[in-house]
Amino acid sequence: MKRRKRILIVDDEASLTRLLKLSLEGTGHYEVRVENESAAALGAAQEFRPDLILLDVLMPGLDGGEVCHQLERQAGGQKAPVVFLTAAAKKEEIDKRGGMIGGYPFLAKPVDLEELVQCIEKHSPAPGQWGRI
Amino acid sequence: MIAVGGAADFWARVKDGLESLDGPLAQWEHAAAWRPDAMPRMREPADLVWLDAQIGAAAMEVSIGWLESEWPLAAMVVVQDAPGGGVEWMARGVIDVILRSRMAGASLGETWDMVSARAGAWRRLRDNLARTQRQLGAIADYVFTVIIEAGRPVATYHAPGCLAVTGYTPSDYSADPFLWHRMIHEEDRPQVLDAVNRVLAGAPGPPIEHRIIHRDGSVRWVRNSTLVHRNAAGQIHAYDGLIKDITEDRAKTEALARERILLRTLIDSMPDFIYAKDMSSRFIVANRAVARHMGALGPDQLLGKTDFDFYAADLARQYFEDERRVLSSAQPLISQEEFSVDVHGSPRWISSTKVPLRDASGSVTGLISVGRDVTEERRAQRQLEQFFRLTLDLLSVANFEGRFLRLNPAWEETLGYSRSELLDQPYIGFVHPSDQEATRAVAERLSAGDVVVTFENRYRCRDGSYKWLLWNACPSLAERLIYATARDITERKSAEAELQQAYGELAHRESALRQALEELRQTHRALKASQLVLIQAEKMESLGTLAAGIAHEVKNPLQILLTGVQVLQGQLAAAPGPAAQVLQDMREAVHRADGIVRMLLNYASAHHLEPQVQPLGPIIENASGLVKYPLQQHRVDFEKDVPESLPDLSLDRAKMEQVFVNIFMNAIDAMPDGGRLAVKARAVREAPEGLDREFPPGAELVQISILDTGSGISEECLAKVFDPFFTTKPVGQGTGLGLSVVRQIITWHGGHVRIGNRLPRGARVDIYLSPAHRPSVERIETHQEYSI
Repeated sequence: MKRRKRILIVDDEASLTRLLKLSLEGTGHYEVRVENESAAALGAAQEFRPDLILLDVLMPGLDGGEVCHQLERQAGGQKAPVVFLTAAAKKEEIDKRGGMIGGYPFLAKPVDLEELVQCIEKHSPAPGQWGRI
Repeated sequence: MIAVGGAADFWARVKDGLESLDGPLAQWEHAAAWRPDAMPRMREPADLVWLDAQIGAAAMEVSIGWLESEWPLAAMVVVQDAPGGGVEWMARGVIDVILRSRMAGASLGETWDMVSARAGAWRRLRDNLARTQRQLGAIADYVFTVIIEAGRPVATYHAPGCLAVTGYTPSDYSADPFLWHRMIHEEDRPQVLDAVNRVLAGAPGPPIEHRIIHRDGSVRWVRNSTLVHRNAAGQIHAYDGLIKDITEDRAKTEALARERILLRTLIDSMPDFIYAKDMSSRFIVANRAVARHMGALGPDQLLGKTDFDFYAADLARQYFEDERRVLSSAQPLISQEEFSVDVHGSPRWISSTKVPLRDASGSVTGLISVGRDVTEERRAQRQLEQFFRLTLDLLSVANFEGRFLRLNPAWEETLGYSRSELLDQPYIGFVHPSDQEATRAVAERLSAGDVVVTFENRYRCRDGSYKWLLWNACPSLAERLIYATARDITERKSAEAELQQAYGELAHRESALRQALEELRQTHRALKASQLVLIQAEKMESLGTLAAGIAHEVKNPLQILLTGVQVLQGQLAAAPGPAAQVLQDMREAVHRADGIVRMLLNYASAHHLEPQVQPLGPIIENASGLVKYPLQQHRVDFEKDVPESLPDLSLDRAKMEQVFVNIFMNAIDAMPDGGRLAVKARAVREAPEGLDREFPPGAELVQISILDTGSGISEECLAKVFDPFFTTKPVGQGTGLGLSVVRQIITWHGGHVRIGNRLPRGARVDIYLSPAHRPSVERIETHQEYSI
């Protein structure tokens, strides 16, 4: 059996992360770890070694962009791909830009499970790629 | 020939004797006594009448009187027996007195020769007298005789001359003894009677002058002289009155007196000094003016005196010499001005004319002088001259022939020419060529008698420049002269010109200002319009900020709900009962809530309009594709009629797609039981009524009409359809923002949108856009961006 892709979800909304973990893991393809403190995201990424990080944009303390920046610095260009999940950007805006803002894929809340899965599949490498390195 | 009185035989012998001398007599008559009544019966007056003294003195008088009156040409000869009294008869007009003894024999011949000669002489004398009297026109005097006996007048005889003087004949006086008294003018009768009484009293007075009333009613003046006849005893037995008609004399005297008064009044009332002097320069006549001037009480005080009696010696001497020259040269001295001093010692100037006075023989006997005090005139003249010299204005006298005759010094000052240069040639030569015609016209008007005021022309100066002159002129037609005054208004002219120019500039500036003001107003209007747009944008921005905040807060819960629903759906997929449907409904509700939030963000946020020039067709095609599902669901047929020939438009593709989707969705919602939706686009040249001000006249427009067959829009809703959050859809189906967004996007494209109903049913939306316009949104870009 193929190894399940590891997804790190960083979002301050605990109920949301709980449900996302539930639904993503419910598909049987993902192993999900949730981090509600953005400041703890770096340690979690290092420890969990996710295939993809689902990153909320607006969070208390470090925001999504900041977290992404630090991840990049920490990994030295070898970090896992990041998909931003935001309630602030409009879906039309994101769609117009082909789902990418500043080189990163964006998803506008609320997002359907199908859409989320498509996006994860599109941007995550084969499972364990990051882990091996 | 008639013989009166005497013996018949005597006169028969005389007749025979005369006829023997000269042949038969043409006429012979003898009357024994004086019979005046018989005389007139004779056909012709006799030329000679013999009066025989035997008829008595009284009869003689009567006879003589009658003869003088009636037969004035008859010569009277008295025959008497003794010599004496001849002179008296002769005084009465008898030409000869003959003694009876000389009337017979050889003496008769001598007598006859003498009487004939004397009668001839008398007749010639008489003829001359008559001629003279005829020439004089009247017989001026006559004699009457009053016979007095015992101190009383008993008879009166009037000589024939009385007829001419009084109009009555001697017979009239004989017939009426009181006629002479009545004839006297009533007022003069006492005087005459008094004179008569004095005569009768033997003490006749001097001749008196009194009036008589002529038979024709006229009043005559007579001089009445009395000659008294006394007898040997010294008693008065008769007196003669000589009546002389002096009417003419008196009239002449009175006229002369009147004339004297007239002349006297005349010269006395003259302000001029008039006097006459004799050869020794003594006054013989002077008028009051002279007397006043010389300080005398009246003209009489001057008579016999000389200037030395009134003036200082040297002045008097000077006058004396002047007069001497006139007297000795016999040449007049005309209008010579001489200095004088009046009685108050004030100096006066007298213009006097002195002419020699000559007597009838032409020798100079003195002089006459007429003088006038010209002191005031000289003063006025001198003042005038001063003003003429001093005035800054240019004064001139010119003739009708176009030359100056007199100029004041101001001319030299103003023009720089000497006066002789200016007088030397016609003045038109100094006038600016452009002003010559007008100047000639004015000169002609002046020659015709017009007064010309405020005429302007330019005169050349010696240095070649020109001066503007302002003229007032009036002509003297009698003298054929023009009197003119001119003023140098060059400075005023240039000031006027500057003023004019300044005024022009001011006007120009004013119009520039007006234009600027108008531009400002337009700009202001534009700004105001922009401001409205900005305010709208501001509102939208605030709304956008709010919406963005809400969106984040709402979307997170939505995400939780959606995820939760999906988790449950995954777990309950196979569960029986309504759970699956409940979860599906919940999921749709989450999506709808998300849709509302997104719409709100779209509506409120400022936008980058990203227009591109492109055809309309593909946009509509795309939009219709987006509503494909609802179209099918509601069984609505879609028609598109968008010719490829339409001009390209500058459009933001995504926003225009939204416009059409929103409109399409409204149409579809209005046709729940199916229908037809049509889109038609046309190029039009004319904006529709109500929008004609929004587009340039005649500009090409693209009209896009979206027509449906739905329920249409109620009247009350039509006015509100573009209001944000206005909706007629059931709760949960509409946001109330669809058409607001449509209008906003179209407005940003510089276009207009209108909504109305179709007949018989359905609604229509018309969009008007200008081809390839510049989107107005570029100008109101607010640069609002959202951080993500």
